[in-house]
Amino acid sequence: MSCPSLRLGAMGVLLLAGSACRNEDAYLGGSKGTYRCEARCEFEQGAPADAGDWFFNPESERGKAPQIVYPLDGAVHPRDLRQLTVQFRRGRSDFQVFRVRVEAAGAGVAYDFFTPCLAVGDDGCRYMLSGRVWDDARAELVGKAAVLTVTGATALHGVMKSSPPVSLDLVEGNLENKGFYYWTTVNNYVDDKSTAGIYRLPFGADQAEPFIMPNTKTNTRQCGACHSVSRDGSTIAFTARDIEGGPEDQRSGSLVAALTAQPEIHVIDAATPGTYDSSMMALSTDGKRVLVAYDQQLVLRSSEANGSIPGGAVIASLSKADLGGKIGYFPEFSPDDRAVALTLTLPEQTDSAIAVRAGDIAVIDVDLSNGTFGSPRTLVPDTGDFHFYPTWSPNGDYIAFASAPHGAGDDGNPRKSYDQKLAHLQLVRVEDGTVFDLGNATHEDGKWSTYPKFAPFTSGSPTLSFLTFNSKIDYGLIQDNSAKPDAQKVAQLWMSAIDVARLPEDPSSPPIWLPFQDPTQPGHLGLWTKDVKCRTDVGGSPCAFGQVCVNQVCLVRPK
Amino acid sequence: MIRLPFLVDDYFIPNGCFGDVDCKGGVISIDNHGCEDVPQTAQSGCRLYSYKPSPAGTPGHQNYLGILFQDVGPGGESQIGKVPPLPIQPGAKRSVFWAKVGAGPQKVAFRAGGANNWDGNTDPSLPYKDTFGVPGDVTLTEDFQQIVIDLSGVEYRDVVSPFGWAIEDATDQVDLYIADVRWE
Repeated sequence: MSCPSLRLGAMGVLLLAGSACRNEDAYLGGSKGTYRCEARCEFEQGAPADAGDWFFNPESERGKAPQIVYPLDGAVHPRDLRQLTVQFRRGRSDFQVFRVRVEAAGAGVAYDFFTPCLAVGDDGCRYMLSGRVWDDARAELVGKAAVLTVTGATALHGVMKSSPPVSLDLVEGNLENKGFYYWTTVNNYVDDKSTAGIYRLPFGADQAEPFIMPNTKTNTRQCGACHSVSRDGSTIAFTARDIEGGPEDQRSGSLVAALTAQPEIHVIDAATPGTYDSSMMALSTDGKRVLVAYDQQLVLRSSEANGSIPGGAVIASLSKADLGGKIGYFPEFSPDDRAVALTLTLPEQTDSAIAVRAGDIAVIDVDLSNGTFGSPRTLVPDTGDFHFYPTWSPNGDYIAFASAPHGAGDDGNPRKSYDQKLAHLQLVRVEDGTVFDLGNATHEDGKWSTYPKFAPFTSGSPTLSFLTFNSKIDYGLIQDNSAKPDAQKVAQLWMSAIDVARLPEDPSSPPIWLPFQDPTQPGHLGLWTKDVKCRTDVGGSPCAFGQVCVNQVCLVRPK
Repeated sequence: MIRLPFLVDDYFIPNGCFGDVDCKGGVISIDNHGCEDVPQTAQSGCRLYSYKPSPAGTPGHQNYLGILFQDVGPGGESQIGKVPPLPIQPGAKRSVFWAKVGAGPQKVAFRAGGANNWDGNTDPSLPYKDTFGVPGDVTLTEDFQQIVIDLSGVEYRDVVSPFGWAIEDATDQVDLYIADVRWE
């Protein structure tokens, strides 16, 4: 019988007391190290009090090491996000305690979190980083090249084994207290039904609050999904429609607009049932104009609460003839409101009121002072792929969008933009139409990565911004979409950093999961605003739990 | 098989309801977003359960209401007794969680196990039940407290409901907050 040579771990001072034979761990004796848990350390419930001492053991050569599944390697995490749930495969089954270490070795900074394996999936573990120590870690590690490792230990006098490191880039996001609105469903549990609606939160809050909910004063109809929120956070618009008893397609939709401070008091109220006047829409940056796409036309309407043009009044219309014989979908105003990005498609390539089977990304100049539009300029022509859901970068120099190849889908019908499995993310430079693939953000093909929306703010770096989108990629082990048939996969909201300084290389980072979501419920249509306005149309608190209203704006209360 | 320790929320949902007017008519609402403060150490979610008792003497009034965490049946079933159990690694020592009420003191009967076997009451016509039910009666206040149900010595393999609660004799609305339910 031959025995392997022994390797001593780099950490701690070891007493070499013996050796081991094949298929056994080397007995290396006890550790002399004593871990002192000070400000950069935390023990999870169930971890032994001396867990820190377990990690002076030598690295074992036997068995599998833990493997980090989430976060994704190279992901960029804005400091403003207060939670990060690390998920990893446990490796050896006899690991009893794990050390989650976030370290910037070059700066001599390391934070340790000791935890048992809180089971998830077949062989996985989860540990949510949150609270004061993680707050301190994010603050101290911002801008430093940090890596995340997970080490499993078998016993105080046992062995340990570490995962390959995952790079963790913490940046100043400048996203805290910016507004985020999105559509999701909420499980009611006891009546086998779920409620769908538009939720909102100031970024950094732990949870979102219901905002535009069906069959309430905020939306008297049964459904409200397609929505737009002005960048200044003042105004929301959405398509309200009845599902039961109404037409089956989206042509029953009616435009509603309201100040976000008073969502129960509508600036534009839903038209009489049966009226079709809205599918998808875009609000101007100040919320005073809304450009509505429906019924093969674009209609500019006033959404002013107290302006010279009454809310709801039609200011201008763009017909197919005005758009070069094409139909406009998915409009979004540029940050300076001087242009609109949209998808243009031929009439025979439309799929429904909210979906196309072909399309270019185009830009139309607009002058909102007099309600006039220029001629469309195609930025990204439909060739082998068609393009949809354009969104402007914070300074208007780039437009991100989704693309998918022409052809038949799994159902045999021509592929369409809505719920498109093969959708992936791209970026076009407005100045010259050069297209760049956002492969890191898309992360995996065939995962419905779509509906991108730029956060309209640059981060601590002038070239770095953030792009949210919905996707059915796996959320680590917690939402294992890969293991499910397509119909059961759950879309979630993800966010990628876009650093245009990296062009012409892929400027996007692997995405991060937005932690205020319920991973069992779908999340779609995320939209950013400058802030979240305090509500003035309800009694009690004008902001949700954990927030405080300051100068008419909801702010996350420091913990 | 679900390994220990685990967060109950990762495998079960609060879909098993019993009591007043068969849980219809808005006597119970469950809000995933209803917790103003969450214990700092929580690794999983916090929910607000709002129980509005039906008036005594009205049809369906039973003077109690309870919620059990279960899996979802293969056909979408949630009725207690119709949801199959899940295998859980033997050897759990305790179920531990945080709880408080909006206005206390309020007695709450917590339970590990007990599906179709609450205090030994079983409907034999239903296909599934827990083989055990460990009570944990607690009087809650407006402050979160960590509660432990001792599972040492409990023999089990397949579990329908690892956690549940019931409230009796309430006449006014009870707001019950529960966070971070674990089996360890």
